[in-house]
Amino acid sequence: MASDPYVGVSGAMARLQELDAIANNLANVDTTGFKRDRVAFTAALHSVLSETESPDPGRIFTLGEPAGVDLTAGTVSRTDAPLHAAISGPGFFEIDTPLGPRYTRAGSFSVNGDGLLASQDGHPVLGTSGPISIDERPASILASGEVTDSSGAVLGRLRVTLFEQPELLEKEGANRFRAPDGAASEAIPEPQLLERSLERSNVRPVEELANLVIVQRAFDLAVRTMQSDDEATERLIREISS
Amino acid sequence: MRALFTAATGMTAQQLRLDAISNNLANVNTMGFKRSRAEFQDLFYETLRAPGATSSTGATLPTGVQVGSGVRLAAMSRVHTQGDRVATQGEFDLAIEGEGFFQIEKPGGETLYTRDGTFKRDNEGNVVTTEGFRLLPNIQVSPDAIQVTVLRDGTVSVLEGGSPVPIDAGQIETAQFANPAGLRGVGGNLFAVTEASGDPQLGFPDEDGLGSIAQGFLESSNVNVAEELVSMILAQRSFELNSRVIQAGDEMLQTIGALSR
Repeated sequence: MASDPYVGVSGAMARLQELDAIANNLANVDTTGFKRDRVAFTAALHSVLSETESPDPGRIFTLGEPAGVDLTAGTVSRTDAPLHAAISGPGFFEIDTPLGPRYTRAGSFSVNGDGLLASQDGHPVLGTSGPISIDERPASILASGEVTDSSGAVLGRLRVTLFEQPELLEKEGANRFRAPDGAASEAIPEPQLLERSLERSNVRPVEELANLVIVQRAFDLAVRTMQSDDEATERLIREISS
Repeated sequence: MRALFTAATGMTAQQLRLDAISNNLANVNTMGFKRSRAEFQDLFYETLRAPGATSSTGATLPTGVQVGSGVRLAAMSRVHTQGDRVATQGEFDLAIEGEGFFQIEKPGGETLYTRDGTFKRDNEGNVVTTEGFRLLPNIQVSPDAIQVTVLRDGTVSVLEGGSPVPIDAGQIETAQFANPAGLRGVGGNLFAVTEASGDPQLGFPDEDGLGSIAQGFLESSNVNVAEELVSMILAQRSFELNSRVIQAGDEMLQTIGALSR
């Protein structure tokens, strides 16, 4: 037998999972502050045998999988909405959810029913001294992170949190990230924002489309491997029984 | 085959985006119209392996494995930026420069808000919108008025035939909201208060952060045609890309199907 049929099966399974990642990236091509999942072709020939210390190096299984979040910045586009802000450089806005603090790059804020500056789904955004209350006049976010109302009064200042290891952040959906317990972070003392702008998704459609083609071809190849294994086995059985 | 459903959410999102764009483009000449933009959020993730987890060999994995399930519409938010000022010379054409909304009384007593200052005079001399809804507070201009003047601060004075001195006909009050994006569009260029918009803060124009009134001008729609057309092209291409994923998924399923024959 040339190889184990599970070599082909594991390859095909990994390709299906990569297709899921590409589908999610492309579905979020217009999601504010979205960070794409990497599709790990570098892991395409990853050997599980080295990890389990099996003595047989001949069989290469595939453990292809989306390998983490690509946190590079998306392009910033101007929306002219006074409560929109994009972070220039690293860092995250902090959102106060019932499940604890969450982090986001999506600065498409609005005001919730309690008169607090909030994310699109109504959770308050934290300033340097707690939630920011906008209860009388229309407000706008300045490049310094300060929130001022139409009469010029300063209502608060947005907090931008910097993580020592941002790659440990986990996606939660709704443009939010969850930090693991005890993750080292600090608030940037003087954040730099781009006012009346939003950070777009960092998904590059051309790249995803190229990945899509590669995944499809790699899948065909894996299935072909399964097929030829099957044929080899069939031939062997025929020759023994004749 | 989660990818098929994920791509379907992507296609739905692009359709909604196109809906917003087409409504904006249809209202490119609607006075006081505020454009909408579709805001998206990613859907929940299935965590197959948490970042920072320990591998079978005891090493700490730097990245996790999370599979997302697509996108959903988070909000269709109005962008309340100033539209261009268009000179019309109309006596009852008023534009607000800066913050604020005109208050309109709907028959039945409900107060609505608008940036569309295309006012008229009805048969009783009341200042009304094109639909005939009264401006609040009500301002009456007698039928034999020769000239109506509205000042920056909303003071209306009327010069009547046979009188050399203009008569004070009242002052327009405007309303501002903590969150104008939270107002609900009810059609006819009118907006209604919601819990999200906050209560109206009334005041006189050109005071306390409220914009001033310009007579003889109208505020045009804030839709930027070039921007909308670019968005339309992007929406169309994104829709195609998502459909391409469905096609790829379908072909992969066919390949598996052919294997078991």
